[in-house]
Amino acid sequence: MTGTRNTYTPLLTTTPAIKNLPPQERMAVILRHIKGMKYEEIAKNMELPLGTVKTLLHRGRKTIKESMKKDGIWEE
Amino acid sequence: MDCNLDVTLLQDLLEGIIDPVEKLFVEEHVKSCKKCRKELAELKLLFWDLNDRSNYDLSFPAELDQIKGALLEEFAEKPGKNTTEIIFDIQRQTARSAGMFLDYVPGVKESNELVKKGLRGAPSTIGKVSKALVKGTRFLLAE
Repeated sequence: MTGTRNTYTPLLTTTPAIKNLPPQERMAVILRHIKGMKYEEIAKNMELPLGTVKTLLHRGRKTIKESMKKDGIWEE
Repeated sequence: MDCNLDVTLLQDLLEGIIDPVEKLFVEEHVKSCKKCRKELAELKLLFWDLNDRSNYDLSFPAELDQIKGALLEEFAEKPGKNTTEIIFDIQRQTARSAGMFLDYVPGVKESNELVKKGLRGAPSTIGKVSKALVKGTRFLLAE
């Protein structure tokens, strides 16, 4: 569903974008936002340094946002 | 208006993991930068959406129970076997694994064949010895 400038349709919009993420970014996003884990817990779970987890989450969220813009959920 | 603010700082601000000094800087910057204000607003919506669990279908597929059942059946003990049989099976398996190295020891096959030949010849040897004994006994009794 497309909207006016900056309108946003929250329901089920992020799911396809999450599915299309690279595996590590997807895992980090799922653990942070769906499972509600803390950064340290994610780092331990994924056996990665804390900085890497932050980078994966930054990149993942950026990709999700761009994907949503591309799909017309957000208009530039 | 171009700005060089690292967008990741906005994410860190929303996550509450930003350095206090950077937080002050970012908050001041956002007040004056329209682009970053828009970015922050979009990120807030994104976070809200990502953290809303009602957006995700977290129910397990129906097939999962079937798979679980099949796996349990595969690993569970087969019915009809009592404890003694299970213990014998384990012992048999252990003995088999313990003796597996013999297949790779040189000369074992040949010695096995020799032992078999010896066992085959054993009854006739025992027969000969017993016959000799009987003869000897008769001889002694006759005297």
